Amino acid sequence: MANNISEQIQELVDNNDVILFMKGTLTFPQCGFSSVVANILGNLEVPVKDINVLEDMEIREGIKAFSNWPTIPQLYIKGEFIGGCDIVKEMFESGELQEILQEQKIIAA
Amino acid sequence: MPITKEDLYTNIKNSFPDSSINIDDLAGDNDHWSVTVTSKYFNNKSRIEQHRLVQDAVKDSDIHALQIKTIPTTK
Repeated sequence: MANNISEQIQELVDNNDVILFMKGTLTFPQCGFSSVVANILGNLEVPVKDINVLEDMEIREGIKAFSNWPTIPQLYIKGEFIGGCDIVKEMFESGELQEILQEQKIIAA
Repeated sequence: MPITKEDLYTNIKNSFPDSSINIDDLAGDNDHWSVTVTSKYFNNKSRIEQHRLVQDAVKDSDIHALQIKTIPTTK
């Protein structure tokens, strides 16, 4: 992996409060797991920057190394890696995701 | 490449000897699995760390889809 990919990803993560690396887009997810996370965030009315990894093979492979996480989607909130589909779903169901988003002033309490 | 339920179980059990493991074949094709693992090895670890441990345990099997749920014993 070229260094500049990891720098490019770091910049994306730093410059977007909520960023989702996914297959497809928020409005047109192209994978069931990406779709679940997109739906949860849409449900909570969270402003999200979506990165379609299917359009960029370097980011698609780069994000896996960057996060040390083997699968897509991957959600970052305020620079912190939150997880993939299973974790985001679990945190949404337990209310933890909403808590983080409220603490970070991304959604209203 | 699909994996048998027994092999998947063995891989996980080897990494977490104390664990109780529940495995579901989601699509009936030995390639889409859901695993729930309860183990003391998850205690005091973040969810991401817990999932990484399970990912590591199965990393040599080429599974198309693996849904993971981890439960620490102290929860």
